[in-house]
Amino acid sequence: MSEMDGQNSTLEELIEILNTKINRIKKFDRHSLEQTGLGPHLRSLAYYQEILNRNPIDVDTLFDASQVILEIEIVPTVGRPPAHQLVSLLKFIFTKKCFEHIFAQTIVDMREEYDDAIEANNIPLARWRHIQLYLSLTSTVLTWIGASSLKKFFAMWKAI
Amino acid sequence: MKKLSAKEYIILDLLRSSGEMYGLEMVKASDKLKRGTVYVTLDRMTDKGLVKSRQVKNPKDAGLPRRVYQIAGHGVTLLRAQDAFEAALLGASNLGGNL
Repeated sequence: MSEMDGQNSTLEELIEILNTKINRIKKFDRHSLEQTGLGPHLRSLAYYQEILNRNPIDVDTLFDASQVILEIEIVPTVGRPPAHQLVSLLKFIFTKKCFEHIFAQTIVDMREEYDDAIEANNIPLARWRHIQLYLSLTSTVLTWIGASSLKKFFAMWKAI
Repeated sequence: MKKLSAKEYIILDLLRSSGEMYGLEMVKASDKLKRGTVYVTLDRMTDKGLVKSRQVKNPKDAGLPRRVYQIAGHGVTLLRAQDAFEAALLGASNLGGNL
């Protein structure tokens, strides 16, 4: 095997690694990158990937793409916690006592489980915990409405 | 004396054995308690005087504060009464079986 063939196969391997990394970033980190202001990095990667697919021996593009990936991997991507928008809505709808005693506790519990899954690098489980948080909150809201209605109904019935 | 519901009994029994717990710990310790309903039950039990809670704020955690629950005096009384009632019922059924 000549030296040229060896260099080409190393380049092909590098491009394959880069493609895998870029695809993984596009699939899993899109949301957090957009939230932390690294959205342009994502678009640059898509652009570099397109160039490399057309011209696999473009060493400059290969180098630039590696630099961007390195930046994404070094900068910690801190996103907002799950259900951050829902917290404001629930605070607005329900009383302070009701929010603190019921809904905030449900959210804290689910966030703890979500964080545990993230810490264990179990992304599918973390996603399931995120969905579970909304399901639990829906169930809590419905149970609370049912319980409060019954309590009011009995109070009225006793008063009559 | 009012009878405890199944969920109330489970929660009081867990709190009696563990001292202080928060909702998620109770859900993990029992397969009958659900994440979505445990806090509504606990809130109702607080209103009835069966349990009491206090807020615990972790200074390292900037998130929402957590509440831990412990059994209250009325809860202990009702739990003992229910245990005594069930023991009497069991004794009576054993007696009936032996006759």
